[in-house]
Amino acid sequence: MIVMIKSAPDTTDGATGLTLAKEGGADLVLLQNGVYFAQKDRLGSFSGQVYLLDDDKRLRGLKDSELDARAKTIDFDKLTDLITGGKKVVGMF
Amino acid sequence: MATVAMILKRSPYGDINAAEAVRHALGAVSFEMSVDLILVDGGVLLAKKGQDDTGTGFTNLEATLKDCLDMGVSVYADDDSLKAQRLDRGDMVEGVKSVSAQVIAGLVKEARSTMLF
Amino acid sequence: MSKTITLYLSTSPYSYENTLTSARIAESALNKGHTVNLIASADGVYCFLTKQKAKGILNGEEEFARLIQKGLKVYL
Repeated sequence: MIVMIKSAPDTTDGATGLTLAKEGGADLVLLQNGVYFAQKDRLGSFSGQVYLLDDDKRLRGLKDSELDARAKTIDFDKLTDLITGGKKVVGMF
Repeated sequence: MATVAMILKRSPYGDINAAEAVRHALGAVSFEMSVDLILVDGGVLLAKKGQDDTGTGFTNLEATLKDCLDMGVSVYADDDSLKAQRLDRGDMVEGVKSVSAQVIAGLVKEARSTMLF
Repeated sequence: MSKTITLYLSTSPYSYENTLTSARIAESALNKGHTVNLIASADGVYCFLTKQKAKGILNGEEEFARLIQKGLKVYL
């Protein structure tokens, strides 16, 4: 399963998405304000893969040095591949 | 005394509020009104350095914030919100003042009118 | 293998980032040969009004008109 989060960490939508991803053993795709979840120490015990959208990361001035080591930056083409890759996609929160 | 205090609560780009706040701040200051732009909650992220709009189709709001400062808008960021949003002073656009909630309350109280974004 | 992606857009064109995100996902998927449906509901239908004058932000009318030419299927 892939959970997509577009809401910021300080929103209930964002928190709900993260909880679902944690409990469901899912991977995370972060976009829009959801990219702030990729900052260090924001993901708690989440253990899946973390992808974040490059355009939205750059727009918000996020630097790689402030990101969780697991966070992998992707473009829209890779996002499309993930969406069409066969896993269930849930979101966007 | 500020003629208008504009309070931005939302982080930039996810919705239109940050763009609207800086647009109206620029509009007001160009009509020689005195403007305080007050960043709280996710709004402090507007002051983050290094925003790159290349290829996205968006207006760069860091550049627009700098225009506001150049035009004479006073920009304040709430200390507690900066901590919550993990924004260090060194990561902030120069000229943005980091202030306490008490100072912000004073600015709002003194302003003739207030706009919330 | 070609797949079908259906996007659901329910927000107005310029108040949120969703217009841009939807358009970019649609374009990428169309370029890869997938079938892309977009269902516009609630305020999302405003993205398809004509004579939009937005500047400094993605113009919804222009962008979706371009994507419809590329094969995007839109349902209001």
